[in-house]
Amino acid sequence: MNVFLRPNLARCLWVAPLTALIVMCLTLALRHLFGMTPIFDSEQMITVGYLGGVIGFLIGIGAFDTWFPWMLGAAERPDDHSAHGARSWRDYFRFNTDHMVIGVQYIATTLILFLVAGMFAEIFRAELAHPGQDFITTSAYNGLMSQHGIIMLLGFLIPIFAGIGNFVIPLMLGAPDMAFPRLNALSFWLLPLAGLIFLSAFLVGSFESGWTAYPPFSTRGPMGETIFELGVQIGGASSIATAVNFLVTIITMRAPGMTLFRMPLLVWANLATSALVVAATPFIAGSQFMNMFDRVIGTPFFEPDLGGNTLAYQHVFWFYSHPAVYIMVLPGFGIISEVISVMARKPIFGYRAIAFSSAGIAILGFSVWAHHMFASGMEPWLRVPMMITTMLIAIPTGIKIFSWLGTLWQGVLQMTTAMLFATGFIFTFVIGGVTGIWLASVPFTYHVHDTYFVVAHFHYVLFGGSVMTVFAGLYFWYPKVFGRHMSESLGRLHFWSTFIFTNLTFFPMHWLGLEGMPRRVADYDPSYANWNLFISISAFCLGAGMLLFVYNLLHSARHGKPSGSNPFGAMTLEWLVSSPPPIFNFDVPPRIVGGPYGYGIEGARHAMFPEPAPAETREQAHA
Amino acid sequence: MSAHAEHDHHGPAEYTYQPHPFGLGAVPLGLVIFLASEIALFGSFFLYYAHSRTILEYEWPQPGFHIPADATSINTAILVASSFTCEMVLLAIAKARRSAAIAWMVLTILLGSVFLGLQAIEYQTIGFLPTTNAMGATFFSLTGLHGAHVFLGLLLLTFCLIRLVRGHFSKERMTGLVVIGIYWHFVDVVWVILFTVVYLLPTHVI
Amino acid sequence: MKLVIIGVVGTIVGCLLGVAIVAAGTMPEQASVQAENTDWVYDIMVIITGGIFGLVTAVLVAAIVIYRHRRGETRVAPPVHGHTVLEIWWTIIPAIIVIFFTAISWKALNDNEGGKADLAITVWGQQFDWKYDYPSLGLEQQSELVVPVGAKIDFTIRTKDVIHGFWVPAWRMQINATPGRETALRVTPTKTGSFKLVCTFICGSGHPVMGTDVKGSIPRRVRVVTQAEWDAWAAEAQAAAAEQASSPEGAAVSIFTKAGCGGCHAWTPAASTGGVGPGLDGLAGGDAEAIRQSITDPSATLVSGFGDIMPKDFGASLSPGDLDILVQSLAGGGA
Repeated sequence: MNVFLRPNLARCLWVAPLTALIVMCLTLALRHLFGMTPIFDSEQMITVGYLGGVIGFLIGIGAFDTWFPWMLGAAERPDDHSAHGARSWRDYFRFNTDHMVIGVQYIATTLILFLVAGMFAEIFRAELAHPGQDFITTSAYNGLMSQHGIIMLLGFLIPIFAGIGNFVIPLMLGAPDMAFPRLNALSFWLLPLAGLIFLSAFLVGSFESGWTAYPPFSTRGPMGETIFELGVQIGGASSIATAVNFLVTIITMRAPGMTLFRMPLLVWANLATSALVVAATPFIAGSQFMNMFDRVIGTPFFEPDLGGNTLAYQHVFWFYSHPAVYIMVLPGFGIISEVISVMARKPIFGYRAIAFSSAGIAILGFSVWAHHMFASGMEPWLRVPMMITTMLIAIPTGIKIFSWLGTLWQGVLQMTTAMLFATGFIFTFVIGGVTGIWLASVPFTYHVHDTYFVVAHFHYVLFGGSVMTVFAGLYFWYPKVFGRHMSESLGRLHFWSTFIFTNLTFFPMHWLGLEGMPRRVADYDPSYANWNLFISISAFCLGAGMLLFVYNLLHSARHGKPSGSNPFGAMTLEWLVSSPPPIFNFDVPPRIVGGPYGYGIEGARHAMFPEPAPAETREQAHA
Repeated sequence: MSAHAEHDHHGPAEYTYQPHPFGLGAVPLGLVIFLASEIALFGSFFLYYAHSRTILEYEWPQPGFHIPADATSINTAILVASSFTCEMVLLAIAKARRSAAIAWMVLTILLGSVFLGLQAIEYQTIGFLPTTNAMGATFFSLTGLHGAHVFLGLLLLTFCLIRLVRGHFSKERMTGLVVIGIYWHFVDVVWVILFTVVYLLPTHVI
Repeated sequence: MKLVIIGVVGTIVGCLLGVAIVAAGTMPEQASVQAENTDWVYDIMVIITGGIFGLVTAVLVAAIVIYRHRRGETRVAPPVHGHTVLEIWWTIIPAIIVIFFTAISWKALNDNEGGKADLAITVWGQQFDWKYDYPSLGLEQQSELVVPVGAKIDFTIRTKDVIHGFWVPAWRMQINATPGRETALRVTPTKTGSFKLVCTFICGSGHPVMGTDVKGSIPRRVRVVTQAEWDAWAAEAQAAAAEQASSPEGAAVSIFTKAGCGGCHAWTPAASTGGVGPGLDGLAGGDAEAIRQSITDPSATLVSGFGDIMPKDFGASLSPGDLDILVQSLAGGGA
């Protein structure tokens, strides 16, 4: 079949614009039919055009090739698995249902978005290095700052954990794939679209209202705001679909013997995260729907003169976006539990406490949203209850930290790069956690709300916290993906540059915030010039360190030291198969016979294969 | 798996999974979880509505406007009835009575379409627009979001009807029908809540 | 045992670090009762959480130093799965600490807001300026915020367009101006002087000039004076307002000031010095229609060197009569 007719990216090239065009013409026809003038409304055109383009892209890539015939009543055929697994690099650029391919696709896409959003940060840090307007305008600054925020959150942090989970979790469960492989591929392909949609806002004037998009600034801003709202919908849909998939996979596809309390902690963390995503993400969709209706249809959701209620936006928005913080950090906690237990050669300290604290954070996470609104003029009686719940959520987080320390103590610590990142994470995350407790205090928040103090706090949590766990996870599972190690010496250099410059970049921001520097400003009081210059230089060094990582990542795939199937002597299932694992993971379903972290215990086993094991066993690898 | 023998491609190994606490199959479980997120989507609009009405003490309906609860209660009855007819489809299939199943399915689709039609008439006669005020925005977005779900449900039911006519469903193979039945009940339940909150609560209670 | 010693030492060092941070004076000048209450909570939190930070860091570093795997070492880690008593303690102690923090924060919050107010002031945010109403003096849309020291002041914060954030760091108080509703802030200034006033919420491309002292913007300040000085200032301001209301030139200046034009534009009759937008003195004798267009549709023509950041809604927010007066006055070089 012709390359433009087969399901692939080439088919998208014509199907996506065609669908967009059809939908736009339909809209024009409808407007004409209902006698609306003028017939052409640019906001509406861009909305339906983008939506049509997204649907057309999915048709082109082949997301619906099985579903459409089913809908129209074609006879069901057994799956021939031709869309499954990667045999060449081309298989990574098509609609692939293999969870490992999707995992790699996710990680590659999110890392690219990470670099792009990081570059935005470097650009506006350059502007901020010196007071006064130097080389970008305030509008350009606002646009870059907003793009940096939303792409880092929705394009990098949330989906990269979905990527790591995608690769690792079916293996950990002893399952051949995710529960809904086609849905899995569909949710991946929405992600690059969301990224492209956000970036395309630059063409018409980027959104300037920060990633929070508070109305009425966002409902009155340039057209980029509409594109922002579309991007959030697409990214959110991807996130929900993945979470449904994870939940069903974890609940129904555990290998025989894999009881809930034999699951590795990363699986627990993903279970809690996915529950959060499913229950919370629709709220950001709802808030952006309202914003979009205001802009595109002209509803007065947020026009006070017509009874609009801008504060309700903030409630709805933060009802998602606070749980989102845990969505961005809980899987990281899971990764840390895995890495620390394996590298300390010691069972995880307080397995059930860590598992339950994930669930506790997920539940409490829904009761703290309004702490983002202490200074927004919300209902005063809501402040103290929110302060109490916010303070309480520090307790399960503390339990995790202490449990990790308990695991480290008396262990035999293998200080690999992954372990360096895991321990470095504990240090930086504690700083972010401590300032988080301060921010829970209403009087203190009245002082530092929307200042650089808050910027410092959430960069400690999300960069010093989540991003460090991402690196720990990538260094840890890299050998499983490629069968080769990443370079340890480059890795160490990368760790130390990240660790040092994270602190040098973000710690001084605390002082600036306390002193009086608000966030999201393109220009500032010249008396803050020295610290800002210092921060900018540190940020450039931090960015340079990332280049080391990228080089290491690409170079080691071909030239890294071969790792064998189980280089770290781990017990969980993903290490009991070859590296990279075979398509459909297990030739024989494994049987789970014990806990996942029996390190240092004579004869302890997590899983066994009824017949001779398909790969070398743990003992051989460790010897 | 039989596919294994028929094709060159290597399929997954044969599995008996660890039994799980909910006992549902993967597809119904996935749908139930997805519906939980749908509740949250409706919830975000309900949250806006509740916040306006309690905190802002926003009058509902706004003075000079009327939300027709009486006429819509007939419509509510129609949608609730369609839930029962939808269930009859499953019963008929379970008893292997295909023509009865088709008839019930057609009736379900008809009832759903009547519901949508009556909603459209209500939109034209209600006397305000989504752009009129915040009440209009909330009313139209809540009922419109629900209407979109009904429309999607009708599409899915139609696909099921096609497969039903072609005889693809049997007592052993009816997951598709069960799942779409659950979805249709969900749409129904949401409507009952929505009707109570948006139509009844203002005019009859407060 | 080793663990206990390291833990205790770490906690103490951490607390001392907290004390050092407090002593180093990380907060700006303290100029209100609220600032004193807030700083008290802050100081306690810094010292105690400093201890937690010290504990975690000390144990972490000690574990890495002591238990790092060394080449050739054959030690096997003890298969410890947990320690119930320890786990209960590290749940209870943090719980007590955070409940204590909640209690002192709640107390500070109540102390901040207690008592009957002596003075009410309404603060208006707009793109990109602040305006102040003094209802007790009958003054409206003033460009200067002047308050008497020692008075319990209730600020009502409102906005004419989008969300703004009203923050005086020396007072440790801020709140957003939210469209469609009034938000409130209680401050009791304890020090006279001139203090920075910052807009914390992103409100558009002119956001920085509304907040910090950037180049070209007029410094935003709140002036705290003694009661006697305040009375004198009030009398003067009332007289100026009365005079402005009666003179024809004053009408234009009053419209100019109330609309917030002076936040960005320098114009001698209104004594404004804003440097964000082009100066307006040179317009005298210019084309009235061009001036009108630049107000109602500012994107149409731009003065070179200035970006397209002026709010687009003045055509709607200024009444046609006011617009005429303003345009004539600008084109006529004063009156």
